[in-house]
Formats: sequence, structure tokens, C-alpha cells
Amino acid sequence: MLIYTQDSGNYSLKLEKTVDKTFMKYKGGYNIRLSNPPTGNVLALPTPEQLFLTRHIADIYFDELMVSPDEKVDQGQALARCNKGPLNMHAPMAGTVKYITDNQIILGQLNSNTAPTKVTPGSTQDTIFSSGCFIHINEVYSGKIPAKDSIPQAIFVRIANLDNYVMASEIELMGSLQEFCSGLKLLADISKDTILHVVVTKKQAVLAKKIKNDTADISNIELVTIPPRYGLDNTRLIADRWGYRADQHIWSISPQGIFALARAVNQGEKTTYTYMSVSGPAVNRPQYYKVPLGYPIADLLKASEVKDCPVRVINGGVMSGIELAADQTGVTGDIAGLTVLENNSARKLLKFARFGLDDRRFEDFFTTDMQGEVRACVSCGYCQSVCPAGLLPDYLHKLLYCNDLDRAQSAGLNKCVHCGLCSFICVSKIELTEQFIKGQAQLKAEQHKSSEGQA
Amino acid sequence: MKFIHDIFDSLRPAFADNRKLSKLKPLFDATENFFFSAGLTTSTGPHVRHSMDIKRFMSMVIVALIPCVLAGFYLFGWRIIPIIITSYLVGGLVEVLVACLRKEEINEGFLVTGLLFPLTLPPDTPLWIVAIGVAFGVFFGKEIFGGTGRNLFNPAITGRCFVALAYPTHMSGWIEPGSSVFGRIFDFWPFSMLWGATAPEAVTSATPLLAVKTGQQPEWLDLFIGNSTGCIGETSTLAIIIGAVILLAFKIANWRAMLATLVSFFALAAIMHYFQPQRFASAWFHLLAGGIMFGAVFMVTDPVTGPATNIGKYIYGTLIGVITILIRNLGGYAEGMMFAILLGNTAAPLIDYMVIKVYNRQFIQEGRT
Repeated sequence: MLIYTQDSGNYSLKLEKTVDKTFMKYKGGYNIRLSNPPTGNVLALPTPEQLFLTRHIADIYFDELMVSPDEKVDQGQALARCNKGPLNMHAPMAGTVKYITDNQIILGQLNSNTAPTKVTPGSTQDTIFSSGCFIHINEVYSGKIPAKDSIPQAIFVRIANLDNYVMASEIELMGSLQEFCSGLKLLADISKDTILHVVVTKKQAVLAKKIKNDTADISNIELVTIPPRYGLDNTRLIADRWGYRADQHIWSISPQGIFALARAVNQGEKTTYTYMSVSGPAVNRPQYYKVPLGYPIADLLKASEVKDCPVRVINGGVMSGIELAADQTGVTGDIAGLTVLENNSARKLLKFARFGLDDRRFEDFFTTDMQGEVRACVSCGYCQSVCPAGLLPDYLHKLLYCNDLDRAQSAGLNKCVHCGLCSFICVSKIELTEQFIKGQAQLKAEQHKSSEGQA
Repeated sequence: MKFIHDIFDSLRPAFADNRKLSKLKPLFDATENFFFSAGLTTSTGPHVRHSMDIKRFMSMVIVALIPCVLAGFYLFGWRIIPIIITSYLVGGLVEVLVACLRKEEINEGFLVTGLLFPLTLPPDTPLWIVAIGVAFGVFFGKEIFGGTGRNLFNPAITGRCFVALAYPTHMSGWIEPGSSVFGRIFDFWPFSMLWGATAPEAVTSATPLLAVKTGQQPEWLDLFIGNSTGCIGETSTLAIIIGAVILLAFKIANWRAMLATLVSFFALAAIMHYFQPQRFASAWFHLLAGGIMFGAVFMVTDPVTGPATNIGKYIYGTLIGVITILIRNLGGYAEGMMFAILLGNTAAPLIDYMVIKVYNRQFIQEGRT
């Protein structure tokens, strides 16, 4: 439960659990205990030696350089630009540009005690893009960062983020609720026709009520309540359910983005830092961090005391996360958390007979172990029972296995949101999610080809 | 446990590609993977996987069958042990041979077939019948379709159907369960079966389903506990219910098909009994006697041969339940479960096709395909 203490007109939130990150719940009655979820308060780390600023974020690439090596930069100064927008990449701290590579801009001799450059005042939509808080926003259907002049039909505010081991929204909301609500109001002001859906879980009823009270004067804010089951928090699924279509501009924004926007408009602050978690079974000190963008990931892992074993670092939650690219050395805005898993390939004697039947003891198995050999699908139906999109993954698998894309499409292949639950639960250890991602890409390529043919 | 690992390590080179034993590599792999988990790691997301794999899935069915095996052992004595061993040996041989020929892994599904099949046989079946039945079931019921996961018919039922139709005289070795407290545990008569001789005490008394047609009604409690003649695994309803609880508690079997079979069966039996009580036995009797419970719990819930969709499972179960009671009450056979399951297996792909067609319509209507 969230506890509110009213002090001088500001609601400050005291951290208590509303989304239980120690249990992984999903459709089909599964409830799995996790070891080492991120806990405690947010830790600010000391200023590092260098910042590694990645020039790729989502679909954009900051190609146009605005600084040269050995140049001194202020906090918030634009370092590079991309044509889309145009959008700028800001220096999170004052310092000196050390190296510039194709992928990164590296800052050294950092100084965190200088006055930052302010955002030039403008409309809310301009501020989103000029302050840099666009890194917390993406288009629901394409996954891209929205274009600067596009007016969204709807915006989903993802307070409910149920993927495990990543940032609990309470941490992000630990600032003041008033600030959060002022951010919501700013977003709602973008256009009177834009509907703002605030997605919360049933357990966050108290929080939802507070938000509703504080934003009572705005007509285009709607609360969306979802059951606390992983997969159902996917914004694409919710957007589908609300009747939006793939050709519409639907934005998804995290609570961090709301705060960043509020600060950018009210105080003129640029987005220079992010909240993230480092946790997982292979970490001794699971922790939330507030770090400047570009913070060295190696330093973060060191601060979290990664266990002395071969590990795999995953960008995102344990289900939907992807392995962190080897060349990514700095924190980017699209990282909500790092999950560290033991990279285990030890062969266990009579493993199938060691009944980990109690799902709550599952933590013993929580490594990158495949847990079995690949076999033919036996149609056990587990994947159907967990699929949040209501698909028939086993049927889709059989269609894709014989390359029947047309029928796979009519069976709803495009509705797959890559939550990973079907692969996770599969008895025959079939790479269902991977197969669906490939199938969707193939479909897209074919549609592209046919539309070109028509033109 | 390192020494077991060392044994495998020392044996592995002998099965390498160009060595003498390379043809037996699937057997070696299966044995090794039985003892040691594969030790593979995930390559794509999600990076963790659930600990339930196909080995555990199949082992759980065997665990659920143990009450039935114990009940059969108690009721019919030692003679069931050689039957089960024969089934495993011959069935395993066919499985290994086919796997070696095809150069594929040995499928774990056979472990279930090897135990299910003998439990559907009369207790005094000659061992050569067991061998023929399981070999036919595994080969024609499963392997020619491509192995576990691709088979159309339940291999155990296919094998049973074959021997029941081809050797009907050898498939009536019914035995009265032991009358003492110890059942037939202390009767030791396995050897006579080698040449098909009937055990001296084995009475070829009719099963309850045959008896009821001539007007004899067995005791309810006897039927429930299993103190009646019948196939090895099917007589004790109590043991089957324990197995069903295990299957459902660990989510191995889907309850939908099981429930649909029993409910439709019971409902139609009750309706028929209501209108002609002299001609048709009561629904409770039908539920407890014969193979309906065993079939509904262990055969109908076979995921491979049934429909994959949940709605399909209801239709499938209903079909099997209805056909069973129709054969029992109106057909020439006393028991209809075997034929009903085979007919259901045949219909399962069609049921799936229809259900999915209706199901897909919602995607097409939404226009988001």
C-alpha cells in the first residue's frame, strides 16, 4: 500500500509494495517466487570517471555532431543531433569531450556542480523534444520514438509495469504526486482530442484514486485498471482492447517521462538522468539507482556486487528483456533495469526427477539453463493458458513450421506482443517467441513487397 | 555422482560418427540425457525457462499411473509384472530401432505408452499377445506418423484395438480378484503365461458389463474399490481417481476433456436408464464399471491425440462419452471405450479445424490481421 503524508501541500509518497516484485504472476495460475528483486531506496552513485553516451536510441541515430574532441561542454549542452525532429542529445554533466566514435560520445573530467543550461520555453510538445524527455516515450505500434509534429490520438501512461526485476513504478513515483499530476496535465494539454489513459493495476487503487482527484478538472484523462498479471500490462494489448488501430499515433510514456516533462516545463530542466534497477539472481545487492545518462554499466554492476560466476546481463525484465549488446557500455534512457542471470550450463543428475513442483521454489532454477531438450510439440496447451493476447501459440507454431504465413496471419500472428510467456512455459522447449518475431518480420516484408508491386 | 558422468564420458567416443556403434547413438544419447540434463542454455529471449520439460511431463503421467499399477498388482497378483516388463521391453525395442534408423532422439512419450498399454489388457493375457500389441501400437500408432507429438492415434489404444480384433480368444483372460485381504499378492503364477496357458484359478467369468446384460448386478463398493473382473488398470475406480487428482493437481492433464467425457457419458446413461430401466443399467453402474474412468482420465486427456483448443476439448470429450455409452447400451460390444477413443482421435483434427475457423473469425472481424 502507498502511504501518503501531507506536508505543506505536497503529497510525498512513502515506498511500500503495491506491485509485488517478489512474485511473478501470470495468466494460467502461475505464481513464481523470484530471488533478489530490487529493493530498498534509490541510491545515487558517485560521479564516474567517464560517461559513455550511446548515439543510437531506439530507432534514431544522432549522426550530426555539434562538438569536437577536447571541447568543454556544459550540462545540458547539445552534443549531437539527428535529422528526425530534429532531436538533440544533451550532455548529462559538464565535462570535456574525450573521444567520439560511431557509436558513442565519451565525456571525461566530469563536474556535477555547474549550472545547467535551461530549456527554451515553448509549447508542451516542443518541450518534450527539446528537453530530451522523448527517450521515455515511444509509439505503441511501431516501437519508434514519435515524430516531432505528430499529434497522438491517445497516450498510455504506464504506471503498471509488471515485468519482473525492473523498475517498480512506485520508485519512479517517489517524487511528489503533485509534480506527477502537473506532468499529466501538461500532456493532456497537447491536444483536446488526445485521450490520456493512465494504466494502473487493481492493487494500485489508492494511488489511482489520488491521481483521479488531483486531475479531476481535466476531462481527457481516463484510468485503465488491469489485473496484476504479467503480460496484461503490455500497452499494445491495452491499446488493442481500447479499439486503437496500428495506423494511429498512440504513445506510451513511463512515469519517469511524466516527471521529466513536468521538470522541463516548470523548471526548465533537461532530461539528464534516469532511474533504473540492477537486480537478478546473480546479484548480491539488488538496488535501484538514479544515474546520469551514459553512466558506465560496468560501474553499476560493480556497485551491485555481481556474483563470481559466468553471468548474462539482460536489458529489461527477465521475461521480455533482451541481452545487453556487448558494445553498450553506458546507460541509455530506454533501460528500465538490468537483470543479471547466472549463465549456467551445468549438467544435473536426474534433473527431471527433482520435482520443483512447488512453483515458489523456482528460484533454484532461475538461470539461463534451457531446462530440457527440444522436442516436437505435444499440444499440452500450456502456451494457450498463459498467452495474454489470447492466441493459440501451438497452432501458430505448427503453421509457421510449415511456412503457412497466410493462415498464421489470419490466426492472429500480428497480435503477438513478444511477452515471452509461451517460450518460458513450453514443455517441449520450442523457441516460440523467436519464431513469432521472425514470422511477423516475414509478414511485414511480404506486405511491403506487395504494396510496392501495386504501386 | 561424478563416476556416472565419467562412465558416459568414457563411452561417448565409441558412439562417434564413424565408429562401429554410431548407429546406436540415439540410444546412448537417450540414456545419457536420462541421467544428466542436457546442459543447454537459452539463446534468445526469454532468458529463463520453466523447469517443466517433456521428461518431467511424461514422468508425472507415470507417477499418476502408479496407483492403478498397485491396484492391479493387489487384485490380480504377480502376473501383471511380466506383462508390464514385456510391454516396456518390446515397445522400447521398436522405439529404439526406429529412432536409430531415423537418426533422431528417442521420444519420452514411449515411457507412458509402455505402461498404459498393459493396463488396458485383461490380467491373463499371454505375453506374446502383449508383445505383438505393443509393437503394433508403437510402430503403427506412433512411429509411422513421425513419433510423439505427431501421432494421430493413441498408441496404447491402437495396439489394444489390434490385438482385441485379431486375437479375440486370447483377450478374454479375465480373472476374479483375490478374495482374501491380501488380494492375489501371494499367488505366484507368472510362468504359465509364457505359453499362454490359463492359470488354474483364473475363472473366465464375465466382466461386470457382460454380467449386467444377463441380469447380474455387482456390488457398488466392489466396483469402486476394484473388486471385480476387468482389465488390469481399469477395475479400481479409487486408484484411477487418485491418478486423476495427481494429473490435475500438477496441470499435466487438461480437465476439460476429462470432465466433458464423464459428464456426457453419465448424462446420456442416466437418460437411457430413465426411459428403459429394465433394458439399460443405471448411470452410476456404467460410470464405475469397465474402462470409462480409466479412458477418461488417461486416454482422453492425451494432449497429442486430442484437439488443441479448449472448446475443441469439450466437443471431443462429449463425442467420446456419447459414443461409449451408445456402444455399451445399443451396440454388440459390452465395452465401447476403446472404439470411442479411436473415433475421437480421428475426429480431433476436424474438431480443431472447425473451432479455429470460428476462433479466427474474431481476428478477421477486428480487421487487425
